[in-house]
Amino acid sequence: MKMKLVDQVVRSFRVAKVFRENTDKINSIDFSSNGETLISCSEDDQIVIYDCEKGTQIRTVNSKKYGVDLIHFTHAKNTAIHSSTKIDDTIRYLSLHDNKYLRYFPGHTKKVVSLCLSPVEDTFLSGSLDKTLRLWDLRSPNCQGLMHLSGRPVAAYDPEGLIFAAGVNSESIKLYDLRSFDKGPFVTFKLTQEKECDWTGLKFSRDGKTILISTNGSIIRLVDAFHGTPLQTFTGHLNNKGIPIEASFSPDSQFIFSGSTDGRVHVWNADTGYKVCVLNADHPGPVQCVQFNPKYMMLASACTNMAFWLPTIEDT
Amino acid sequence: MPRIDPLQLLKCLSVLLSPEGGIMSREEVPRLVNLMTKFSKKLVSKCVYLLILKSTDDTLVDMFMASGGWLLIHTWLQEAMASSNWNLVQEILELLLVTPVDSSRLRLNNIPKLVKTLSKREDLGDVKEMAASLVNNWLAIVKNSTVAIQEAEKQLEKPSETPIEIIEIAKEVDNEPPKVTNEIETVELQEAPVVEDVPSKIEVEDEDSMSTGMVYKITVRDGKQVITKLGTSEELEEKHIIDESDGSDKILDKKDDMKENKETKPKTLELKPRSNSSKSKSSSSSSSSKKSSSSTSSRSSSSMSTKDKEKRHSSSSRHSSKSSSSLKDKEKSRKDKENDKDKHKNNGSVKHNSSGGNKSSSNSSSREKDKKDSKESKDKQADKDKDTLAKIKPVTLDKIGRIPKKIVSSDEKDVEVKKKPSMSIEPKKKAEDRPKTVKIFNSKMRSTGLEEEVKPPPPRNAVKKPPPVIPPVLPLPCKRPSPPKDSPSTPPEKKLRIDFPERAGSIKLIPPKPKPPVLLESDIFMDALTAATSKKEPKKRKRRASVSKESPEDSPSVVPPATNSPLGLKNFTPANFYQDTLETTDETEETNEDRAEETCEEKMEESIEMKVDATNSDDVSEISEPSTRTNSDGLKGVLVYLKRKGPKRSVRWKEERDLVEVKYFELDETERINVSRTNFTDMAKLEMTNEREALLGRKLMNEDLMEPTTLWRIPYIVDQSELPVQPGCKSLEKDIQYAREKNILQALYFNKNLIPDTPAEPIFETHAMVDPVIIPLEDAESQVYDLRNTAWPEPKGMPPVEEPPAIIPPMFTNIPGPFPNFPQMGMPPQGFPGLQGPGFCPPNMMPNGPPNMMHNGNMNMMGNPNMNMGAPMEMMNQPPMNPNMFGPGGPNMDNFNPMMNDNPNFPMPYNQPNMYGPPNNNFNNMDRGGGHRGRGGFRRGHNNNNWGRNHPRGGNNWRNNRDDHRGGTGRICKNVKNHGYCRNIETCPFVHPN
Repeated sequence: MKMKLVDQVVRSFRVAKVFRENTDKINSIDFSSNGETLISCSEDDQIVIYDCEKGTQIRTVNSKKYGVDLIHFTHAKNTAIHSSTKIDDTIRYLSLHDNKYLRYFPGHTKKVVSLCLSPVEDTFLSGSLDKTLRLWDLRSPNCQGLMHLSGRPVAAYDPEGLIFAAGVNSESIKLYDLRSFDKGPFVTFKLTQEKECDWTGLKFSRDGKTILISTNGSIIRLVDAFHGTPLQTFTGHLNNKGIPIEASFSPDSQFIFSGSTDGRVHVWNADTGYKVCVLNADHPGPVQCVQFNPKYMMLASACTNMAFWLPTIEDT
Repeated sequence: MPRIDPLQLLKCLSVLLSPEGGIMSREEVPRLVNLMTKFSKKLVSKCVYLLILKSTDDTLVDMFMASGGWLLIHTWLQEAMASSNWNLVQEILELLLVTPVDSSRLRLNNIPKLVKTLSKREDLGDVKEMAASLVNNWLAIVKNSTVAIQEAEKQLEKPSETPIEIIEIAKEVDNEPPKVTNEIETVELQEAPVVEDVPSKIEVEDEDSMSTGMVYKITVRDGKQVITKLGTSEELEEKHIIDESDGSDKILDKKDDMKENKETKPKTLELKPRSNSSKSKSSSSSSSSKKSSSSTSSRSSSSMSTKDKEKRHSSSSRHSSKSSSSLKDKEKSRKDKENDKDKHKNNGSVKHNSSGGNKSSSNSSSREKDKKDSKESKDKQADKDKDTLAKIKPVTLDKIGRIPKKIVSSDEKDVEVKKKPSMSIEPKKKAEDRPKTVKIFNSKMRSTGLEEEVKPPPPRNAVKKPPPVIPPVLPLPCKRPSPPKDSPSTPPEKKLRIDFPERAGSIKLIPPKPKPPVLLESDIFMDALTAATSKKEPKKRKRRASVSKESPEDSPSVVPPATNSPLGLKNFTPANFYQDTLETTDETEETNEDRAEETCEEKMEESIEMKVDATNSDDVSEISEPSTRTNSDGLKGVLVYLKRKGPKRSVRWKEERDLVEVKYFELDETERINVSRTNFTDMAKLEMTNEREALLGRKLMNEDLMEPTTLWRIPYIVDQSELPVQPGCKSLEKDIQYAREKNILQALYFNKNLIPDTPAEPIFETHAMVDPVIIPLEDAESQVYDLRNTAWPEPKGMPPVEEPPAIIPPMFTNIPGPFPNFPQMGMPPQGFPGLQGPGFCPPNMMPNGPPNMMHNGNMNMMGNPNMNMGAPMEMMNQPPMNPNMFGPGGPNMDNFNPMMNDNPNFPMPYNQPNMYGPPNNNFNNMDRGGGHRGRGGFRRGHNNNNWGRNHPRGGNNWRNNRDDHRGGTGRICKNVKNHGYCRNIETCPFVHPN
């Protein structure tokens, strides 16, 4: 049964499940591409996987030795990559099936702050505070491409997996063709540099027309993916702790969701820039991660608790 | 292959060996088995190992054989027979004679067959005989006949044969090592002279054989130490003295200063008679040669020469190494020998070479080699020895060597503690020595401790002495300490004398320690305990004390008694220490004699220790000198002695100063910080984490009110356009993992506690290192959109006002879900500010008031600091409230009263209309919602009357309203919820459970 995502539906979202699996802040969540499972990682070094259809927690895996952050499903059903918070800054490829690491991707010398997986291939991008952006392939521990930047890098693949965008120094976005990334960017958008915060994430909308820039301040930017034109600025949510609060698109690219340090979820209309609503689930801590299920009418938000939201309005 | 110096090998093994040269304990057996299997390829090492085994206790030998030694012996025997090395074969056969066997072991391999073939070889005289006797014994064993008896008989027979055998062995050793290490030519040349010399040596040995045999054993035990000891003993004897002095000098040279050694040498010679005897045997080559050549030469001169020699030989002196390295050829080396001799200044140096070769052949394998080869060969060997040592030492010495040191240190401590109870200790020791068994020791230890206090030492000694009467076997073990006094006399006497002095010395030592006072002072139980512990120490002490505690100072006093008691030699006190032979001590002999013996022994031990120290540490100066002399001969003598008399053991402790190892470290500041200090940043980090945990815990407990507000159901599918590409369509890794999961079991954890802390590590992969492609930041051809001049769009807080009404109607009708529940939910004040704002907004409430003002007012009342311009709009977007909600919403207003008081500005917009515009009626109508707003007006001082009139009514209305809603709302008092009680329970309008 399909449902159109419209304003009133968005406003009707209510918390339907609360999971208290973690004892510390959940720092990253990721839906599988089919929307059936959600993986989360926390600062208590737990990796928890949820079933999005049944609304249950499936399994838990620890990674206490290396810590875990920026976790992402890979294309296989039971594998994920994540960055480390301990020992070193190696990126690790984990098989959840048998709870075993499959491969390590060493190279970064400082904390990895951006990690994204190609939507179609086995390549992935990682950006680190060591001011490098690296391109990897899941099948090889060797770095495939290396970019030296002048500041904190952020990166994202476009939904078709043909190009990737690199945000540099909170002031410019460079688009690279994956087939010829070694020749340099084919487009560069030079934007007004953020003064009060840093870019902490890039996301292409599902239609590939816009790029969402999340920051560690209380501001979210939306730019045109083809011309770099600044489209919207979303504010109203709180970020008084300088944490990288995740902003994300709804699957239809119409709505922007973002957490807030006051524990609420803010929703804006991507086209108009107006705020649609503020969803309150009584999150006891800052909501750092908010994502909309790519397939189902379901929203996940996480502080220390994980909340699954469902619309309470019947489809007309 | 580098040559193996048996002396060095023994030194390396000394940690594993008892003082007698046998295997020290059961724990060492497997280690030795491993060592022997790994490092027994050379003839030298085989011989050394054989001698070790021969001097080992039968039970340990049995254990050795059981743990692989039998196979090892088999291989040795095979190799020896294959190479027609009949001397080695004979050695092996001797070992086999001593080895306890049973039928199963005999069937384990074909040693019996080999032995039988040997027994039928007519061309082998002794070997054949021995093999034949072995065959007979084993046949008897196999037939279940009296095995034990036969073995015992055989063993008994052995000692008598030992002297000859030893000589033979020595020959073998001499011959063998050169073959292995030196070139064949040299070996042949050497062999002939060796054989010729043998008879002469034998004579010497025969004289010393009984007594000297003892000495040799000692040397074997400690390896290095033993050798040195022997040398000192020999020095006492005139003939031996010279040789010994040479040996000691050599050692000294090796160690450190030449000059000091010379000076001290004479002293050591006099003081240390035992070393001479042992040296003569062990280092018979050197000693005999010296005797013959420069027998009357001054000790100093001999010492000088010996020093030079030693430098070249043992310590691989620079001269020798240089000469050997340069010449390399054997012939050249011979020439070098001559040169060296000249350099040595000693006339007898040349003689030493020739004679030394002979003597060495007879006595000790290691030294024999050197002697045979003469100084030249020695030099070469020394170099090679260095190499071999470098290879061997790190393994054996480093690993094994430290352990004994620790033990020694502990023992020494014990000894110190024991000083006081020494009186009683002596008798106890004897008793302990007699029984051999550990059990006896323990029991005696305790009893002795108590007894010491009560009984005076002398009576005990007397009592104890009577029981042990068996002297014959015991004397043999005493070998090591051939006293210098005895040296002039026949060797057997030396043994006897040595034993006596040791006993006497121990006794003497005891008296000086104030035991009686201790006993008198303490009747307490603790004293008894300490005494008991001290008793234990005494046991060790006899050995230790002789070695470590009693310093050279004590020795002079002891010496006279030792000389005085020749009869005491018969007592065989040394045997008592290690064997059951305590009984052997004659009852007739009085404690005085025992004391004298002990003192002698102590002296001997001290001298030995001194020697050891000298060899071990460069620091030892005077004390070390005597010990150094004995080095060269000690090894040979030990081996021989062990063969003859079987298992005798002695334990010697290093001197206290040797037990102390001083190392200087430079203080590493950072290191210390890591250990003791906590870094400031670490502290800060720790503090932060703790704080966060505390906060987190508190949050979870008190502030986590998060609850689902709707039921879970399978979510709808979002109606959206299909993605342009199938996710992961080009992924190969996906397929790889699918295939992998089919073959690998899933990790299932049925309990959260079972989940491992960390996933398994990845399988190690080898990927060719590939440098990453550099991704350029700029491309000249790339398009650049410079939008820096384009300001970011201003955020749009709220949609246009028109929108909410459009949305409201449908929402209003369509969403009954959450809102009917609203009153019952007991929403906290901050819970749904958005709902409340618009809720009061509707025109019904305040037709006169501007809606926006209402919004702001409500916002302020809420005290929600987060509200900004955008906030009202978002609230507007929330589904509006049913007008009916207003009633229940009233109580909420109560909560906000205090807040209003804090915000004097708040009422202003409303007050004015209330004051002037609306009549009292209106005010009254609004009592619930707006009555309190009048306060602002009150401040202004206008309409006092109105306010005054209205106030009571308003207040009543408030009360009434509260009462009305108290039951209806069912909300729980905040104070009760947060603190568990409410101070205003009488007046509080909210529900108080309980």
